[in-house]
Amino acid sequence: MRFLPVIKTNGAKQMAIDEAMLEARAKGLIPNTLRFFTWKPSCVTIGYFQSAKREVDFEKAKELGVDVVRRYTGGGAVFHDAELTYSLVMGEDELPKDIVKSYEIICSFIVKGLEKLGIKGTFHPINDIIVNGRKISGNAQTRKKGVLLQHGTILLDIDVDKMFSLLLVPDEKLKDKMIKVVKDRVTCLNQEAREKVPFDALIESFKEGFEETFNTALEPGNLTEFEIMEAERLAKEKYGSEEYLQCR
Amino acid sequence: MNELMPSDRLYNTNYSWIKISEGIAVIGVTKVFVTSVKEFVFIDLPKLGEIKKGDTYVSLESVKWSGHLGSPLTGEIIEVNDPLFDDPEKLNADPYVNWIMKLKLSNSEETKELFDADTAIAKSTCQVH
Repeated sequence: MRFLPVIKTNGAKQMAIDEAMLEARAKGLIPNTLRFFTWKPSCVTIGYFQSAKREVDFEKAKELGVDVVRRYTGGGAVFHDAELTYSLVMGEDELPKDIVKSYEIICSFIVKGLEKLGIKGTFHPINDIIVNGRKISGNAQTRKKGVLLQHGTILLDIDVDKMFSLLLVPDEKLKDKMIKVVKDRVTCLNQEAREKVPFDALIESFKEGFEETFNTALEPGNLTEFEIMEAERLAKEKYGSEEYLQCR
Repeated sequence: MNELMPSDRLYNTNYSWIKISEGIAVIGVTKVFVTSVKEFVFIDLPKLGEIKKGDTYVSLESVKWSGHLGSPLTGEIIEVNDPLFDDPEKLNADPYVNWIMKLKLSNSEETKELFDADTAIAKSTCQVH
């Protein structure tokens, strides 16, 4: 199992790398791969089927210097700010065919990683991890050509007011109530950990959690030439393009 | 006839069924697949024109799954079941009536890689869980 160095870059490139990894795995060019990454600048990602203009306040995003990118996975809009994000590509046949079960197995590495940081997390079906009843991690999956791509977030800090200034809600009158609900129901690592965890220690905890979950050693590696070229192409032609972002 | 995998069509390993007649393949997704992933909420249909085997022909999101299915065969898409766009749940209701695309085949050799219903069931190739 390959383990990539942390990549800190913008949302279009991150999503392009994920899809390039999926393509490379489908072609048999790379082994199963795990990577962690962070977002620079912060980014709102919308689900594959969502309408960007219905989900995101573009003026506010521009004002705050926040990118907006459409994901390859399904689900809702997410504001990626102070968080650690991971992505994993694996052969679909190496995981249970049951979708919730596959989420649970993969998410176990986050639960184990949290445990190493002294935090008790539990898997909450379909695809969340909660700590003391509050969500700390959300995850999304897609499958193509026999390969499963799962990416997910581990919240390090959260600014719910900023998040709601960027995301549109169906009914403005309910916005304050929704903000309160999210504040009650979402937590983050900095709230749950006894002390601030250095970034490298975070990565190490989740890396070890992964190795234990899958009973495998993660081998340090780098993106292949194919992945780099494909990611550059996808970042330019797909994830960085206004046409793809606004296609719904 | 097996309700989950009728014997009047062929199957691939990626949740699709294929019914071929006079060089035209009608293609859709299997009952086992739609039952496993639950209600579809979104569907992305292909455009008319050329498609290669393996290229995405349909993207789907259900209440617990999202993914992109590759075309089982190469050819020219000559018809798309457009009403599915507004009512993806029709796929859940009857995936063998509600086909997704019709393909004019350009490489009949590829059909040799498809399975009949018995083989597909034996291989459990079309099961999601």
